[in-house]
Amino acid sequence: MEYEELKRLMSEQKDEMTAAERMKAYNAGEEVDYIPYTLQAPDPAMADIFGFTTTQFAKDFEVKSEVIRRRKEEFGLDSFNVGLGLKTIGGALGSKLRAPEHGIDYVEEHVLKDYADFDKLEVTDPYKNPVLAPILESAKRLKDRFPDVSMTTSVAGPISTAIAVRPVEMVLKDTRKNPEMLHKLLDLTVECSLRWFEAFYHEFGPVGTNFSDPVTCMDVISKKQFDEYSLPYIKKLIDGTEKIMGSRPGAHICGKTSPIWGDLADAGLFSFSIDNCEDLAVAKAAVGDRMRIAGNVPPVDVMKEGTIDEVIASCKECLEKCADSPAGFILNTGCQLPIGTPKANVEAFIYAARKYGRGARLGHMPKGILEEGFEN
Amino acid sequence: MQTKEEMLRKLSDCVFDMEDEEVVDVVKEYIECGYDPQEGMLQGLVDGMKRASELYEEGEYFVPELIVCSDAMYAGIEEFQKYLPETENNSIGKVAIGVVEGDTHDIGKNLVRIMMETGGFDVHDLGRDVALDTFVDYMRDNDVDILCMSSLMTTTMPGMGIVIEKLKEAGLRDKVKIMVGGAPVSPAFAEKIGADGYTRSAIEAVEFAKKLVGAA
Repeated sequence: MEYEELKRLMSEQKDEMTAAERMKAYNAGEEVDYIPYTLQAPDPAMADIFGFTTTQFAKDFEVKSEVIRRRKEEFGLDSFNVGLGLKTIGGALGSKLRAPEHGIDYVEEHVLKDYADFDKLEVTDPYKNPVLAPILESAKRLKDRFPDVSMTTSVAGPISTAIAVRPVEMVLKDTRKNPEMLHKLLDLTVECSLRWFEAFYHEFGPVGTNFSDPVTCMDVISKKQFDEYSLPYIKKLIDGTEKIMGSRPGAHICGKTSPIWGDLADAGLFSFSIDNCEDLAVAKAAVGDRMRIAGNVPPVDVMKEGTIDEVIASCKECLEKCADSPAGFILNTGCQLPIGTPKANVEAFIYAARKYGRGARLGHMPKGILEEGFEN
Repeated sequence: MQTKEEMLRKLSDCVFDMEDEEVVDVVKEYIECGYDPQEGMLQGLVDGMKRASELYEEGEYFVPELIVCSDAMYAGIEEFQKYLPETENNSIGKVAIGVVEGDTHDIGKNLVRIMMETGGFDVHDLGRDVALDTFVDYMRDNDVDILCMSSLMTTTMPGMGIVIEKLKEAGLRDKVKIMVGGAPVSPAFAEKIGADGYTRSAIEAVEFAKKLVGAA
């Protein structure tokens, strides 16, 4: 399909609900205009689509406001996240971060190369820490400017936070050579994350929460290492979050995760965003009754590099496989929406959510799929 | 005195069992017995790493185990090198490897380096966050059979395509085979940017590289 045709077809589609109304009704088991959708961590890609660099987005309050406004207007994404990135707590604890003008930040120098320095690290205070305080301040300003748009917050998972404090190879070796100190480090990361959520609750009341934990997948560590070093701290993070916010967090873990789905559901995770290397149908059968599933349009091959038709076909396939998952389904990308994703593909994603996700209801196939999907 | 076979097995086990400190003593013991260092490296240490990689393929060992095993292998090799006046060059091909500019994710790259070395390649590691021109300059100044590039981020992966374009402009593209890898990279992407191949894992990378140099 050409872009003009997509735009014409989209002009015939109508939103009947705001994203917040849709989610509320969907959670209550009511039929909604169409399936709830989201795009994983879209800020850098959105900034890019609207002509800004990631640095402008991060540092310029007016740019950030404009991106939030336009992505609501143009893509119906009417919530925004002010959270901590994968490396933020690492930076707050003293690792040196570097952010390219237009790209993703990275750790230039880790603060904890020698465990002899461990006692110098203290649980970070979001009100006083020079890295965290400005983020909290920015959340306050954004909330003032967009009082009606729902705001969420996020942190990185325990192991992913740990590797922003200590180099990843050392952390992985610690699982074999220094379990005791690694446990201390992981405990510290969770304390820092929960302290962030507490501050957020203190300022804004209960909000939706999420964590990303790209390293804790079975492409990197074993199930045994996950059980020993990741799961207890994920559990602590989930329980702590529920205690603070009154609701359980969602999570995204990259890569192969099927061996740990059951553990994540047992740990009380509310929703899980699944990488596109895994199969949604398998996930639905395994844990769909206990955990909401989100996913998993391929971010690079489809969203960034694919055609409009490929985006639509991929969204339809996700819905066919998983839209009737008992604890609910959110159409999402399989990992972060890449910088360089064309606007047309974001629109094709929304078009497909509206068309094939029409008449969605928790635990049931949407009318859109029943009438226009499958073999039709 | 232990036989050479027993000592080789001990060296191999040190690597396989992740004994990165004990290995140095075993190398010394092996040398004191008067056995050949070159053989000790290949039939002992490298053999242990090969056994570790087999377990990795079977899903018994994971990245942490491979890293500690390779630490033991390199500690052993470093000790052996004290007894080798000139390193004999038995390599089956020369590989240059690096993570492209803007990207510091190098676990995958390091695993490929380790596996390539274990597989008999002579590997030059350009490191991580490598300026694109550095790849081109290295290709110009050195005889390299295979260039391996990786990135873990969608923001940096186009850099691999830019390197290939720069190599073409410099008339260097045809003198080297190019392999790419990393989580967001796919066979389609590899083809699009004009690489010679993509492999999903470090183990597959070595097999593919051997085919490229006609050693498989």
